[in-house]
Amino acid sequence: MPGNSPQEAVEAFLLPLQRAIGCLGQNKITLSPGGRGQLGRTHAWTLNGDHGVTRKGGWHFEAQMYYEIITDERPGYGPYRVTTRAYRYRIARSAVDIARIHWHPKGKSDEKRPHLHLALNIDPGKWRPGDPMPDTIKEHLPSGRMTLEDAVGWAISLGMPTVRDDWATVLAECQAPHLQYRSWSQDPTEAATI
Amino acid sequence: MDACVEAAVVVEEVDAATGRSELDHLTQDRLGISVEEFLARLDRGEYDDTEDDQILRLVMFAPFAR
Repeated sequence: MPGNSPQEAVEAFLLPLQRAIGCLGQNKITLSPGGRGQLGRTHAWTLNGDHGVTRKGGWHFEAQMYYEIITDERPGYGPYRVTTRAYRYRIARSAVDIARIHWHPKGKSDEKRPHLHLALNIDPGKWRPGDPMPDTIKEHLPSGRMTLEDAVGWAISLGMPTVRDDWATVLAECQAPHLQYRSWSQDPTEAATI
Repeated sequence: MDACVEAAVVVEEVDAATGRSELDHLTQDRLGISVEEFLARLDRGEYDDTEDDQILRLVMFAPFAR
């Protein structure tokens, strides 16, 4: 999402995220120091600090993202825009992880693509903290790039209460600018060719 | 469920001291180490290949203490 200043680019980046998160009720996006406009460093935002969102029925959603404000000389893409550097979303119910949605490309891990960890064949009604998680949660399941809107939509589709009955429309509208301006969708190495 | 509730989602930027203090609280609570030690381990690459979701959760907080 482009802006004429770093601050404007961050506002354009955050606005759809705020609206998407609003599907889960009143919440707060917490920015790291300098996150509203400082160039040359990696910033982060988290959902309600360390708390995420907890809703009726034991539903819990967490979201965190690394982002950076960059310059982009391409017509219509700058002069400033925000690019995502990593993300982590978590959907859980009654303290049981259902989905961990990750992209953390830095480091030595062999898996630098976006990926999922899914708890398949688990019954949240019977599982108790301390019980072993299914082996499937350890597996990296490569995915395309997952937006915050994707993750919120998954949570609601799985049963997390929403405050909007038009949530699917809202999430689609919020996601549109991201889809327009993102530089890759499946594999981050795509960005190197743009 | 209300038909279309436009729920308020506010944005708050924390200052450097608060960010560091909050991450220090988290690393002390979850790993038993200070934020300085956590960042040193992170910078040495000790968490590079972690898939421990709770450590990853802390790693995603690192810019709050930089």
